[in-house]
Amino acid sequence: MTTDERAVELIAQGSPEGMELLYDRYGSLAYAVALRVLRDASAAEDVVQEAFLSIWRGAATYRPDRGGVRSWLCTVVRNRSIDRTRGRAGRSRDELPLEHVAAGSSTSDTWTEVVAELDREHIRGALERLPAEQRTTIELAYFAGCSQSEISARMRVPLGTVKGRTRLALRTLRGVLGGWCVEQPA
Amino acid sequence: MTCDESELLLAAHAVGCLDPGEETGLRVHLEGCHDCRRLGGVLLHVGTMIAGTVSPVTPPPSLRRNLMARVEAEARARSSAAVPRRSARWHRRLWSRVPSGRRFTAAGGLAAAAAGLLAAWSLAGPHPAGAVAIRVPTCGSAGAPATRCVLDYDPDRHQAVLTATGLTLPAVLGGASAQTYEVWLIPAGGAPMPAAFLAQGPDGGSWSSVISRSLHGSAAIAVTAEPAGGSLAPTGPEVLRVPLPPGI
Repeated sequence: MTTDERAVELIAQGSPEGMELLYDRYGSLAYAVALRVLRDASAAEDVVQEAFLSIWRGAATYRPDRGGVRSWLCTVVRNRSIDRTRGRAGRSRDELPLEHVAAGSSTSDTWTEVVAELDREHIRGALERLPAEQRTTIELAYFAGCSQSEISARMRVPLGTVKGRTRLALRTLRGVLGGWCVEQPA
Repeated sequence: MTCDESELLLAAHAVGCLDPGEETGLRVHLEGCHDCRRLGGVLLHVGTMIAGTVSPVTPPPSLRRNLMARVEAEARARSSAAVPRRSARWHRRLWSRVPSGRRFTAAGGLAAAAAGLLAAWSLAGPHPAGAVAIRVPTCGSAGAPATRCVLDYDPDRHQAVLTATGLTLPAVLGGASAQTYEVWLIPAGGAPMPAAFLAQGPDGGSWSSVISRSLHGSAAIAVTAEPAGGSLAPTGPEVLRVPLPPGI
């Protein structure tokens, strides 16, 4: 069992030790994500605390079949930050019927973290190498919470262009993770 | 919708920028397209990794201190709240007579009165075998911080009685209630489900509701102020929230 799995198990049992484990591993990252979205230290503190409390209270439940604890926690913090910055109170998000990518099954913290760190480095590098207009599109979507229509208005390009840029960017990012064929923009 | 069009929308979904109106068509396509369901899962995985590329920033020490203080306080409250009670046969009979699934009907009024009696009972008397009493001394949200509540849950019958005190009267318009308190079950990771309405008890100071649905799989119960007649999804401010123990 990895440290992450142990933390989640302890939280499910109602043990504060699980929260300490989770916070000590990911508090800095969660704070960074909230800060990136909100650009306000006090608001970021509030959101991170709310996010961890929602995990503690079971409102945000970890699904091992939906990816690792780190990604899950980042998503919870990101969504709460977006809701806050856009004045939405705890918006519920309907899930689409997708076949989710499961978290790695390794029982070794070291191996799991090496693989995860490599993936993050690949994604970070690929994000930096994206054409500027694709990178801006992704950042407006992911860190500013804009819809494609809003991105279209902000960047003053047709909606179809925003859709195309989003798809190309995701194809590139997917390619660096899974070795799929990457189609570069014309 | 073609798979090509679906991919455009799945990419948008993965980074959270799908326009709300486009989700319905995508959902229909996904129901019948295994390849797109798989692609959507992969893209969503890629999307969730974007947040992880942010470089960590050390938060102020007060964040950990405040968080853990609240967590430890809630852990203490939980351990003292979930107390099994001994049986009381008469209560089971009364409980079984409370109609379920009503809104503001005559039956609902009778149910509310019965719930009020049950609430009074739940605060003082013994509970049925297997029932769980969850006492939450401070469950009020920002709008009603003085709210306290007790949740009596009978897991065998999948029924619960929620009793709250410290709530203010909902808004009144032209002599009639313009608002009502609606009870929601909050599933773990899902959208809130309407469960019941709170009715004012005979003493005027307590509010009760019978929840005739299983709490299994729910992470919390919440109450919001909604327009009279209720809503299908929460729209008003949350006035209380009862976190449920894992495995209830």
